[in-house]
Amino acid sequence: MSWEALIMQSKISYFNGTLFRKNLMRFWPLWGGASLAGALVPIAMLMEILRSSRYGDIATPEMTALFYAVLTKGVPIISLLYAILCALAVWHYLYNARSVSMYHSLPILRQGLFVTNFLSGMTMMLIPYLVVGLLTLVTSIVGGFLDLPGLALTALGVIGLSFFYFSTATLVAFITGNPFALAGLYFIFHFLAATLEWLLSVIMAGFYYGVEHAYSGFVEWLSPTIYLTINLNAETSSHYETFTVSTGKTYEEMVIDAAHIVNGHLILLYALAGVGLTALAWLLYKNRRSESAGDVIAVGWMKPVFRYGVSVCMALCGGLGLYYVLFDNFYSDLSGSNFAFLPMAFCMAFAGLLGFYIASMLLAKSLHVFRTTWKGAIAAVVAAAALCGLAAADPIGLERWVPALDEIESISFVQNRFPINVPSCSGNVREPETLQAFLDLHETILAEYRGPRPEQSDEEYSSLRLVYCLKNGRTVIRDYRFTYKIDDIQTDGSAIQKLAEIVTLPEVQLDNIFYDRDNDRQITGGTISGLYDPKTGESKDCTLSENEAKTLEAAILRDINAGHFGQSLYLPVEEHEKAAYTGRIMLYYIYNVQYADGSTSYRNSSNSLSISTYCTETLQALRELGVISENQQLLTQAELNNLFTVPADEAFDGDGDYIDPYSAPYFYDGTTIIPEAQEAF
Amino acid sequence: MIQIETIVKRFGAFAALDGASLSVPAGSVYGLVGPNGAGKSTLIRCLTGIYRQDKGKIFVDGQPVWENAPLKGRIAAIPDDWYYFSQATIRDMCRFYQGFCPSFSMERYEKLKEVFEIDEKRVLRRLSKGMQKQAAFWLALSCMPDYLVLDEPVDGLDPVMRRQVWSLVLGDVAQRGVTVLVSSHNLRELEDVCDHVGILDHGKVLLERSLAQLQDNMVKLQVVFRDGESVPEDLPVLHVSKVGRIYTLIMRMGAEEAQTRIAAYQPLLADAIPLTLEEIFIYELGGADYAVKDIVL
Repeated sequence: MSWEALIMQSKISYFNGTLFRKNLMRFWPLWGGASLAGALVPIAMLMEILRSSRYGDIATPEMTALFYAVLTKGVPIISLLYAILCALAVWHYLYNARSVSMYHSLPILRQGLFVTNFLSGMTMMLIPYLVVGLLTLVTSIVGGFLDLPGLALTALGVIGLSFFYFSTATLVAFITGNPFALAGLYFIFHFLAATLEWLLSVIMAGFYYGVEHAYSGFVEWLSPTIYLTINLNAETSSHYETFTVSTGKTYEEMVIDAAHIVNGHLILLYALAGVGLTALAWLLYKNRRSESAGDVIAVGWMKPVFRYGVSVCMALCGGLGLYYVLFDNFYSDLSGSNFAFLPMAFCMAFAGLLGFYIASMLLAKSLHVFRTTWKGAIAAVVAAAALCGLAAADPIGLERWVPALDEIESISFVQNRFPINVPSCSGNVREPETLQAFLDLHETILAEYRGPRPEQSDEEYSSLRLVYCLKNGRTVIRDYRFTYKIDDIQTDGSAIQKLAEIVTLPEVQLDNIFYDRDNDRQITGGTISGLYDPKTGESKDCTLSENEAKTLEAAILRDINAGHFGQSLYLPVEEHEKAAYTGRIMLYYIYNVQYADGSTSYRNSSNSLSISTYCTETLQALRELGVISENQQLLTQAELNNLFTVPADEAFDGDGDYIDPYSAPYFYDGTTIIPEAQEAF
Repeated sequence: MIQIETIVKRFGAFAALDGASLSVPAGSVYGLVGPNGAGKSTLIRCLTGIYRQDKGKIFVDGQPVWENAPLKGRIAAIPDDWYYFSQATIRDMCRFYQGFCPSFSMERYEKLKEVFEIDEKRVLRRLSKGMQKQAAFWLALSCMPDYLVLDEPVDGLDPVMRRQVWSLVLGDVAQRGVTVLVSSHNLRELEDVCDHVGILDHGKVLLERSLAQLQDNMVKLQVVFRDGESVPEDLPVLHVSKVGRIYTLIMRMGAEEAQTRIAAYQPLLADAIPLTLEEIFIYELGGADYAVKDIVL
């Protein structure tokens, strides 16, 4: 008597060999096809090794790094897709009244069906990986880069991930009674948490001033594929080696010393979660009603969850989409927040209602649900509108939140002034005084905000992007666009006045100009471009020697420390044009890079900056260096405009014909005709 | 013995079985009859452990059926819509059942091959409905069950094969003491094979008796009364019809009692004729508001 028969005849049978074999034989095209597809990669490598020595110089750590890269980036996605096919193969009998009747009338306990089918599915999951693993082993041996511990660790990881994904597919298989719903719910299950948080964050950010997005990813671990893809990584330690080729030329190449998996424990955690999900799936199967075959949701208490869950998801997703289609253009000219509450509430309520009825129809397997579900429909509409209201009301105070000074590690910022074309100011600051200045500015911007409103014609606006790097590792981003009248710059305590002050702070300008100053670098020279030669009317550049560049750099630093840089940023347009020079200074640096093997190489960098009439030290240095003189002048924007501007009434030739601005010597900027020579500036 | 005690099975708000009880003596052939939607298939699914009843108890040989694998190993069921794997041949399904049923007999399987005369290597999907039904009987009988549960078993079989199948089933009943529960609308056929009958309607068993008891409990009288006389009002008549001067009366009583009571009216003619199962079914359900309606279209 066969061992299966002996087990089967025992009092409680947990495994049936006949069913196991039948499953594997029935679905061989599935695991056979997957094995064949997977096998192509190691076979191709093997063929290449046999054909040439192309892989002959592969080092073992490189192969290990390849294993780990596949494990961390490939296996989660492959398993996500393949697990649903395997689950569909072994659990499909639950979805048809005839098949479920046959299986459940067989003389085997549900435990036996569950265990046997689960093991069949897991075997189908692992066979392709096993085939690929064995072929890789052969390839590694033939190629001489065998790393058994790396291969074993990869195999363990594959087993863990396969188990987790198949467990999730199995759980979903017992929630539903319909194969299409299985596929749909499975992918929803895997991406729901992150997607919902993202949708909610988009809606919240749309309502909140300055909140670019509120997505924190704090529930991302509930969307395993996203979480694993982001957090599970293969890292290598490497060094550069110098190689000499037959021609005598040398080149550098990165050589991998070792590879390891970052956050490998996540696989173990998810595999443990898989044990829980499998147990939950078993509980659902134990209590499953055979008559639920064909139902979208087979578990009674989950039906209202599904009905209202679909409604909420549709309210968020469909509501957002509907708003963008119908209302976005109406409100896109508002300063501040993007979304208007009432249209958004309407869109969410409508989409929520739609979702409710779709779910009801799916559950009832009928289109005639309107009469029986109207009370629930009203509840869904109210819930969707309330969700919109809740999001708009900012219950957690996201819009008004400003971090405390002691929470902040650093602030990165980007400032722009519109509509005039002024170079932006950006950088990263850490000094407590500077951080406090940014916090004061942040609070003032919020205090001055009076809600969305159209921009006025006599107003300018500035943008300020703040990236708070907090000590707890979190990053918080705020992106403000605030309007002001130019006179407000003189008003003490106004946001624009504070911003105008901040952009002159030494730490701010130091990072704005010398953002890569931390490198141990040496100045090698510089150039000043856009110098005007009044004799020829042409633009020319001037090159600085190393010593001259050092002198200039010291002067620039003195100007930064004196708060001279940034002074012209928020002047009224005309004054700004009188103060800002059109020429640019470029300083060149070199720094040393040291590799693990002790060898070094040099890298180049440069810093570019504009100056204004406020930068007295820099201007003095330029004069002393002979860079600016009578024959080499730095021109302000206003001087440049005056120099080249031609009155509009001269824009026409003697025949009264308009002079084509693109056919030289002039072009028309809207108010004046400007000689093309000015374009050089 | 199969014992079903007041079982209730609901599908949402609808009760497919609403307190049905029946008892199938060991070694008997029990015919379960009832109108469409009465709950026959649901009862069979509960009996074979496919559905779990909401209330009530089901015992086979004194043991509950639900999740009782050894007991289910002694029950073979042929549903109306028998399931087989889409690519499977009869031989494949034979191996499959062999792996589950400890009592599966290959010897019997080989013997039955001569009876059914179907190529066992043909894919089941490609067989006709009748041939698939034959295959189902072939495999079910090869399992050597103690209990055979059949739902519309001979539907699709030709008359010769019907007789053949019933012959095999009744042979098992006679030789091995197999207990058979069969649900069918073919009352003429059931009348020939059943020794017990239960009538199921609206989820309840209206009555169950041995076929002899059932026929003894209802009588059909053909009566000719004297001139000008009609059916006396005090007679407990279930149904009356008249052709010429001959009245046909259906009464719920034995033939002897009916003859005695009608004699009091000194009819010119009074003959008692046994009812067919189909007539019993119709007149019993007529009382349960399931009569043939005289509708003129």
